Amino acid sequence: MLSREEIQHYSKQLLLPEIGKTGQEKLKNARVLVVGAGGLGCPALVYLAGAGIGTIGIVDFDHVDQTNLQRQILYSADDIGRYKSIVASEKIKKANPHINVETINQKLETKNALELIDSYHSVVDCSDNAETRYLINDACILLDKPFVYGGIHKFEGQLSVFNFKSDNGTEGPTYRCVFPEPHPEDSLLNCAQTGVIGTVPGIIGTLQANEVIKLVTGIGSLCSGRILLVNTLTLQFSEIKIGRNVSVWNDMPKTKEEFILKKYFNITEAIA
Amino acid sequence: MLLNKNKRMKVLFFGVLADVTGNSAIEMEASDLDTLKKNLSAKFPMLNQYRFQWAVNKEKAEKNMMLNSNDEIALLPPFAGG
Repeated sequence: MLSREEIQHYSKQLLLPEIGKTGQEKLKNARVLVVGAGGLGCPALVYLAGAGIGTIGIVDFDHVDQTNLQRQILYSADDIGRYKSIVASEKIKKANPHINVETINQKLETKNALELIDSYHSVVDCSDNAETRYLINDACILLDKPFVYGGIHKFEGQLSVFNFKSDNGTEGPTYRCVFPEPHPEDSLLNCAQTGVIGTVPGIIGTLQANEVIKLVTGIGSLCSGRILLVNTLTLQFSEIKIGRNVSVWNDMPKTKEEFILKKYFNITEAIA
Repeated sequence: MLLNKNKRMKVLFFGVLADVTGNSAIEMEASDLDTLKKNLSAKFPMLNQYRFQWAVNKEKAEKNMMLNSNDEIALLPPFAGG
């Protein structure tokens, strides 16, 4: 049930017949976990909170740094040095006091991922490294949860809804169906090293929130079974059709026990 | 009779692959995808250091297939950044 205050707060989106009171109640009852409160996570969190996702979890273990401010729109200069998960939580709760925010000031690892993700309906992958992306993918498969993947490289972005099960039971593709296993080169290609302009994660993070809103309310057609490619320099949006292909999941842990023992972060550690 | 076995197609590079090849799109000739892969890796040996997905006409390509003129082949790496 929506309170009188909530009806007022969400009045502009309640006007949309696709949302309405039914959709707004679905948003209110949703529990969404955002992994990473950086370039992608900030815009995603702003719009998830704005839309009224009832419970938002924020996983991040990092501090706000001066170099974050050109793109990580939740943070101000006087937040430098504070934990991102805590600042992000304060900011989005101020923007929408009707939501609950669960602050998880931890690194997502095999020992906490299953328990953390299990209490949410869906996950938004706003991480900034390949290892965490495989970890999220595998945990979501083992727990049967959909997740919204977003990734950027310089002026380009990618987006897809992975591991989504439609009403008729058809299972959509996963990250491993497209990119079966990690590769040592992946760890070297993050924003810190290759550079990034704020609008690109702004666009992709916003689209991730948009997919979550569709996923929760059941409206529109999800970006599942396809991967969206955005080039912001040419301003071209294109997509590639993908299918579920379990036969290439050789690197995927088969059980929760195998998952907990798997070393996802050894590539980075080997390089570092 | 003219046997036109090799057809001209567009090859698109995304993400880091556009950086390493110095191109976002080129034109190449090949009769099938395996031949195109071989020609591409000869032309851009640094591609072998990366891993990516192949797509033909906006659909992920799992195995070899005949190619037609004006087909669009895309090389898609994962984007780790966020």
